[in-house]
Amino acid sequence: MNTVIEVHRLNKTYGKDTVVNDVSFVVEQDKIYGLLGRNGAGKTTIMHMITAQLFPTSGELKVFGENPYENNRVLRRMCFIKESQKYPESFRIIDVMEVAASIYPNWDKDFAEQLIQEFRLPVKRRMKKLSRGMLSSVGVVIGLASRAPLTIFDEPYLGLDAVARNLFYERLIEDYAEHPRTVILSTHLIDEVSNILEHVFVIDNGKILIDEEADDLRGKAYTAVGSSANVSAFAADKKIIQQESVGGLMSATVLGHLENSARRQAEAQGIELAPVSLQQLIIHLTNGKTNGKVAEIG
Amino acid sequence: MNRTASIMKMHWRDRWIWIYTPWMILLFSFAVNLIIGFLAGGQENIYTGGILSIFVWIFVCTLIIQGQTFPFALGMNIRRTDYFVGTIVMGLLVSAGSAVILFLLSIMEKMTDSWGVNLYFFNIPFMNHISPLARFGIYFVVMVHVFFLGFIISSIYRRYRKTGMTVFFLALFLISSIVSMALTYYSLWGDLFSWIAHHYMELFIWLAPLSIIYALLSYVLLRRATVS
Repeated sequence: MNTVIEVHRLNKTYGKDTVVNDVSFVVEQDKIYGLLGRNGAGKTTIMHMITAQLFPTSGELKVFGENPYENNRVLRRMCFIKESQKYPESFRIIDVMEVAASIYPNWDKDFAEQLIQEFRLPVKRRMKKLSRGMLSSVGVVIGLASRAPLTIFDEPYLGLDAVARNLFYERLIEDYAEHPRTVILSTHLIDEVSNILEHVFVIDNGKILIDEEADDLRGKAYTAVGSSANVSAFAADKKIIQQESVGGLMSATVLGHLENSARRQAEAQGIELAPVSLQQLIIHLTNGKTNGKVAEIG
Repeated sequence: MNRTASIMKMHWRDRWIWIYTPWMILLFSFAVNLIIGFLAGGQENIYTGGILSIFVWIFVCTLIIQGQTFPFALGMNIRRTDYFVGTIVMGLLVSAGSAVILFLLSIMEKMTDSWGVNLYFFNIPFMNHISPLARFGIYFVVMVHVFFLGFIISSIYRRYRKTGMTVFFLALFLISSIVSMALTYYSLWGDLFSWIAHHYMELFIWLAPLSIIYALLSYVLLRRATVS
């Protein structure tokens, strides 16, 4: 596998605030990555550093094997769509598209036009008159039509309705199948994207909590539901990250692989086992109370 | 595609701000003065200073344009260097184009005997004593200087944000206060003005290296500027 991004002990501090804390990870070619985490976790800062729009305080950062700073060999091959993108006041959607077409080497004009129609974008309208959702759609169109070998979407769907978000996921997967590339999606709508992600990074308070293949991560935890007595007994020797009791019923979320013996035990005691969604798992892992246990997951 | 060219194309989309609007203002001001000249029947010489509007515009326009296009361009994964080169080439071309048109209009003014109504719009009084080429040079060098002045002030803001602006204007204020106090204390104002009156051509020539210094400093500042 070719490595696209290599980050080693990256730090970003503003005065006394540490926004990104000793982060290391590797991104491989032609996979879809999820960069998940709460607001202010440091996701956007990391992506700004990968694209050389912000400077790291310390640490090593290589994109396509080189330092991205002022490096067209790297910058030409990436497209970073961010929620905070600014546009010149006078620009209409069409102006932005034409500038994008002249900047991105792999730009597909027909695809862009198709997407503009599908997202129902008024091409003659000025950017500053667009709603939040339309602004996001413009970003999505640029991100998809630029077909950059490294495409990064930072919260691409603020203000987008469910139909538009679905359209985005569909077009992303279709186009990814035809034109494989490395995609990084940063979001907090974890459940919606969980089935298109191949690899997941979870970041909290500037640190990487999880760096796992999505499939492995899904098998990391499960929920057991049944009568209180049975579930308590079942979970007694296991690591519980959350439990709830309602009446005589109890549900416990257990961290760890589901062994066959445990499965048989559960069946015998009438305990129902269910997979935990990525979102629930990540909520458990990042809500502070369980922070101490997080280190043990890997 | 060459990304410097992409930046120039991006600026060309703002040609209303770069070119059309300042020329409309200038020509409107000229037309008004021409009408006044006709009404006055050319009895009096009219010196307007209306030509200054285009220089002021370029200064303000540069301040605004960099603030809007730099974050946009960097967000589109453009190198700072490409942004810098594309933008200053655009600035130089616009300055050169405007200087050529101003020059042609000043020649027309001479040929028509000040539009027949003694209106000195494109020829500022002191220009009567200099060669046409020098006149073109002054239009060009002043415009380029004003462009880079706007560009460097904007670059200071891009690099150091509000702190940079505060320090810059405080320093400017302190220096100019100290200089003017010193000039008053040693009663040198008169000397200064008479020196300027004799050496203004040299001052124009000095605007060229000054512009280059602004450009180099702007480059250094923009190379370390960030967007978020």
